[in-house]
Amino acid sequence: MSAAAAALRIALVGNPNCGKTALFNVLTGSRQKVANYPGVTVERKLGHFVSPAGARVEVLDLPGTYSLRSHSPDQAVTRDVMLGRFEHEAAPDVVVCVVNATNLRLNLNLLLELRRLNRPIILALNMMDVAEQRGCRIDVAALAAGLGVPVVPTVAIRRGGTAGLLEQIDRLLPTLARQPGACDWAEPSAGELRGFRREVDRILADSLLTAARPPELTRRIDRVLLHPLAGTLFLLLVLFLVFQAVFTWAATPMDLIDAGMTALQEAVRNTMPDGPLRSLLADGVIAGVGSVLIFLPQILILFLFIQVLEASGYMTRAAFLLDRLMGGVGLHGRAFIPLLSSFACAIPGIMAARTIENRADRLVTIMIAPLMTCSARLPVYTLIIAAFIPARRVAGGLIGLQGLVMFALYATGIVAALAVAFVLKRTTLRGAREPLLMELPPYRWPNPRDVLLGLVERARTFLWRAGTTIFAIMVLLWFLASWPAPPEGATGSAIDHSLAGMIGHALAPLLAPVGFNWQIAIALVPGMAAREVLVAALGTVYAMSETGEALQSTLAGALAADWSLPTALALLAWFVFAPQCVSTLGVVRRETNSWRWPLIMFGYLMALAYAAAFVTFRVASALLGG
Amino acid sequence: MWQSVLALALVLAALAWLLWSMLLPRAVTDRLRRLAGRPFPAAPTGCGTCGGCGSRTAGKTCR
Repeated sequence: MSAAAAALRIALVGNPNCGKTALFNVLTGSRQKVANYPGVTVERKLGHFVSPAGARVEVLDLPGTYSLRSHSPDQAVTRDVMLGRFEHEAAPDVVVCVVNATNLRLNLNLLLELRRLNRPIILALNMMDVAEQRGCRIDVAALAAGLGVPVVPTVAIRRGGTAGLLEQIDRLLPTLARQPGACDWAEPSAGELRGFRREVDRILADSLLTAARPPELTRRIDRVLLHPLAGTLFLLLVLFLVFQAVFTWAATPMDLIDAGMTALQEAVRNTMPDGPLRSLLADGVIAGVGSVLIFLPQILILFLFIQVLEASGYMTRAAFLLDRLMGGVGLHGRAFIPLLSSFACAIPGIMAARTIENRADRLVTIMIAPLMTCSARLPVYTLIIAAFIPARRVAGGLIGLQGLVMFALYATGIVAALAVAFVLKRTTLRGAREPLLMELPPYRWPNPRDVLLGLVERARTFLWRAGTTIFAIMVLLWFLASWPAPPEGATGSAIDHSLAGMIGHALAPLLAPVGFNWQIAIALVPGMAAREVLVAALGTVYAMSETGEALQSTLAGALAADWSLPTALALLAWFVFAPQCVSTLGVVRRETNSWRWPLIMFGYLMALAYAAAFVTFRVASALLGG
Repeated sequence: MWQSVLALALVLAALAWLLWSMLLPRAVTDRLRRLAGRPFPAAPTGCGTCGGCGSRTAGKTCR
């Protein structure tokens, strides 16, 4: 038997947002995403640790659920793992039921259901620090006696906060050799659920000495932030400030990276003799990858805000505020979190749609997720805005024009998503709307360490992608843009005669009606891999197209000189809709178990992108002159 | 001449990377891996090769 097979397997189970993933991270040293809202974990995560007694332990972090009878795809994972029905996986040896100590009355129902599995259970009273701050006193021994399982207080976010749990796991080890009893679980009836609640009340009458005070500060803040008018205005203000900050705070570090890339490019040109390798490094790699790296500060600032808002608990309030708007177009209330996640990347957003039970509602959410402005669009938007929108302030100097345009682009994506949902819910994916039921967690100060780790992780992912996929695509694009060499006596730049030039000129007639030139046509092809590759591809194509002094200008400068304003606006409109990310289509194929929905998604997004770019180009040309 | 050789090597390496990591179907890469006698990884966790969410497990195998 292998070591892995011999390891003790424990599963972390509990209600949504009770701190299971925080506990998983502290036990295993992982850095899985944690946030102060329900539904962050939608699939099982596996990690390992060695207990103080030296036992090797496998830990499963499972999606949060209120009952094993839940039917949404994420909660079905929890049910199947617990019942030993998960493919190629035995049921866990020990169940660690994680409960929020401030809300035992709701959380303990699940434990009573889990007892029917006849497996060893440990109850982890998590968030004990918050419970104590709010005056909650629990008789742990009486609670353990009432429930018939060991109970250990834990604080997943504090060093040493899991010591009791580790000791209890070691204490259980000698008893595990015995065969577990037969599983008695069957889907509980409504009467049995009522029985669970009565039993919880009886147990808590003996063990809950003082109930936690309601979070007064949270209530007071919510009186303002959940107010239909004041709350909505605050939400708009927050979003607006985020986009202003993305532009203003990032300016200096972006200038520094830009200067560094230019210096590196000059150094290569000055130190290496003229030849293909020098051209590959200076015009292909540095011009291409460098033009994407410049946007790292903006992406980090955007994610700083997102992480702080998630960790504070504000995001569920935003879901509550927008529920009426989303319900108006037929979207399920639970669609908010998947759509919110899609602002980082459509892929986790599409996966988060597993929290929606109804298939039609889940499909609508999946189909509109790519319309949320993902972080990969940020470099494209920023490049074009910096090249064509003047950096001046409007409304009496209060609002930066560039930030305002960025805000408008994000808003356009949201409005388009709502419009598409409206159409889908009234045509192919009809169904009654279900109400939103979601716990509003108390406000918490974001943990600076978690925020910092999240940003480091984000930077690492961005740099990894720039150094692998984007680097490799730029090397190939350089080859296509340099080969074959121009014939003797040819005029113009070498790229005109290359394979890339031929491809660009062949595609140009298709894209001419929307105002795109052949350089944009070339860049759109590798941009299918990921949206930000377009920026890198434009950097390489323009570096190889320019000659003389123009070669020294920045990419934004080159675009400003070569494109008309209607062309720039049409490309922005294109990118609000364009489905240029093969990974997203692949995940839609997996989540829907069919090629039908990714093909429909590609088709409708491409049609919308072309139509939006066409209308924008024509209207802008008529108003501004082409 | 040496610049041409090095540039060509980089281009071929980039092509191989893209074929392996993005373009070839998983069934083909698994078969190639098996032919080369390399360990056979299980199905990846959720994110495929995207990594856009910043997850450490993106594009990596779970177990």
